[in-house]
Amino acid sequence: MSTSTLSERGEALAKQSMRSNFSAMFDAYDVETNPTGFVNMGISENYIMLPDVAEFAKRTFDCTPKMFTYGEGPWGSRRLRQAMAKHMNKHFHPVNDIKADEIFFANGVTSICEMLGFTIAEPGDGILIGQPIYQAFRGDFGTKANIKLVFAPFEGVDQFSTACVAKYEQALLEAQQSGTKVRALLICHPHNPLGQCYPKDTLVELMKLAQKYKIHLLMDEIYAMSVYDIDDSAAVAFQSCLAFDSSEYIDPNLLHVIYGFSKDFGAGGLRLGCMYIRNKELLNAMEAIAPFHWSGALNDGVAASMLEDEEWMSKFFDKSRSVLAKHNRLTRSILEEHNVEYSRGSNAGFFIMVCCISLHGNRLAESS
Amino acid sequence: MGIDWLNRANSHKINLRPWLKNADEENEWKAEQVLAQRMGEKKVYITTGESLTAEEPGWFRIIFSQEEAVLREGLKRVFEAIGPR
Repeated sequence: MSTSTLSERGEALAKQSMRSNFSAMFDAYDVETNPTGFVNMGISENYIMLPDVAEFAKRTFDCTPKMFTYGEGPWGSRRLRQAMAKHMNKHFHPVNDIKADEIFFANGVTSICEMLGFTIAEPGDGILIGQPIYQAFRGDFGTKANIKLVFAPFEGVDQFSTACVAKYEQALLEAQQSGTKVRALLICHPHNPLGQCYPKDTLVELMKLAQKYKIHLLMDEIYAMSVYDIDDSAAVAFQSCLAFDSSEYIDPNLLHVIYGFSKDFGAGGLRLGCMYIRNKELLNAMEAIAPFHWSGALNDGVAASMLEDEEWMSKFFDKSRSVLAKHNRLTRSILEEHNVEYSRGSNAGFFIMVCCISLHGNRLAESS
Repeated sequence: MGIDWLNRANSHKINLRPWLKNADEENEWKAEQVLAQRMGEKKVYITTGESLTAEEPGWFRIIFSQEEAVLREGLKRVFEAIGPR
């Protein structure tokens, strides 16, 4: 019998070691002050652009008394939601104009995922997702909302081609047969960790799949502005799922776009994630639990200032994309020098998948 | 069985034997864990394919959005963890 004074769920949570995920951050490498510390190649942030964000905030931020109030509620100020709608209208090229009232903010996409898990699924239901995938979704949906991830393996099929749909459908049907109801399909576009974009025909087929089973299609486009030109014939240009008329493929009440400040804007510390959502019922449900996922009005103000200065923002994105492209190429060339294989086709995000074990095998094979 | 983003890049078969000698079990995923541990010992923090639910063992996600000197130092440590060349 348990001696814990916690609830069963409290006891289960106590067994997790969330702190160890951040242990490298307590002893971070710095060439001058801590050369023996951990080099962080694990946490995906736009580190190069952090000084630009800090400089902008210091130079322009107007701190007002209102920013020390509860503001206009937990879903983000009208000013911020308007600025975000304008940003998305300018850069995502949506066929239908995005309105401020269709943008919902919370304190990060992590929270948005949890809120979605809570509102579109019952405990034990599943979210369909391809392999490999951003590792934190498991906790985002699982830790509190108790939603499972239903993984689709691709077994040699190109997961960015329309052929991926049969693999998703197979995983969905297998889950349903074993008693797990699938409530949504989650796609990272651009993909994390593969850094690739989906061609339009694949997006269309994924929309049809979601519509066929009446499940939500959660399009995570958080790296939308972090797509760059790179000399790789396998790379596909980014096109938002909102940039073509999808009304004949999917009910707009099932299609949602997840976005935020943590990646494209180099500002994960602002804790501001958002969702473009046209489903009024889902929006109402999200709003009901929004007080538990409230970002600060100060953060809201900094974020709105960034978006409103379109000239600065445009230079910021140009610089970010240019440095990301340079570092993607540099990483590839260093890997090639060391004969380490990596996944091709990446033209987005802050990462690349690297095959570290074949190197060792190859080298031994070569030398023997 | 292969995965497409692997096949497109890389036609050779992954040879895990050298790593299995260092691992306790005949388990390919164990080899990846052993390498991940070595990366930790070399003070480089990195995400394993296993945690990303990769279909095949041996893959790691490398973040390259740091300053160039930090990126170079991190990659140097990854190569050190992989072993002598």
